[in-house]
Amino acid sequence: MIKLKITCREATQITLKAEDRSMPLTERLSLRLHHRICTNCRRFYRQVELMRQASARWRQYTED
Amino acid sequence: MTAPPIASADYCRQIEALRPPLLKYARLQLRNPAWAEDAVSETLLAALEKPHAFAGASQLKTWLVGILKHKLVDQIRKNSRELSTTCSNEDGEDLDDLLFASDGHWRETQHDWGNPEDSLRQVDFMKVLEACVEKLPGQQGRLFMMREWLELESDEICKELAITPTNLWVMLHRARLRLRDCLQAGWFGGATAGGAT
Repeated sequence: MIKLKITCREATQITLKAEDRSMPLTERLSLRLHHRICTNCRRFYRQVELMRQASARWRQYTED
Repeated sequence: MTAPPIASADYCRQIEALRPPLLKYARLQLRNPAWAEDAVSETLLAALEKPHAFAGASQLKTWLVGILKHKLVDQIRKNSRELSTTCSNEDGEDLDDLLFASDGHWRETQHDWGNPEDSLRQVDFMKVLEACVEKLPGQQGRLFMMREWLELESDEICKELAITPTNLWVMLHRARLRLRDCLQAGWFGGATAGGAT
């Protein structure tokens, strides 16, 4: 059985793990579902996303 | 007999001027001043020995950073034994317990960082980010840099340092959480201090 309901802890783990490997579909969907009801996890996800973009920008900055 | 190519004085000066930033990034990556010095010296030597390899197609700095990255990977390989043993337990606390209360809820309300573009295009933000990376504990910083700056794949990193994927993930998760806290304190929180722990 596919488990789609996840806790905030699990959502955080999934979010962080996605930075270093591709996110399996079930995780992607459960995260999406979780974000509908949880502002904190949604914000955390955006923070991690921003850090990823920032790292890429910084990498460029170090070379220019 | 062909004479060795002679680097012009101007070229030498330009290269010399780029030594400080190269050294800064080498130290950020290796967290060991002696190894960093080695990697930068190797980089400058390579550049001085082959002045014509720099065709001017890219900026001099871009070219040198590219060489440096290779030299840094060499250094990591050379010292991999030492690097793999300095793993984990830099901060012993369980990550989960820092973030979540025993009932599974977030301990603190997460902050809205707003529109990323507003921050990302600011040079000041890049400086805060750099300072935050510098503050990461040794091994966390090293691994974070290998992943985000050298752009190595996770399995490459595990192989080079003989660490398990789980170990790598734990370390990277910690690094990212620390970085987040540092950015929150040093930038998004509006505080002027260069970030807390």
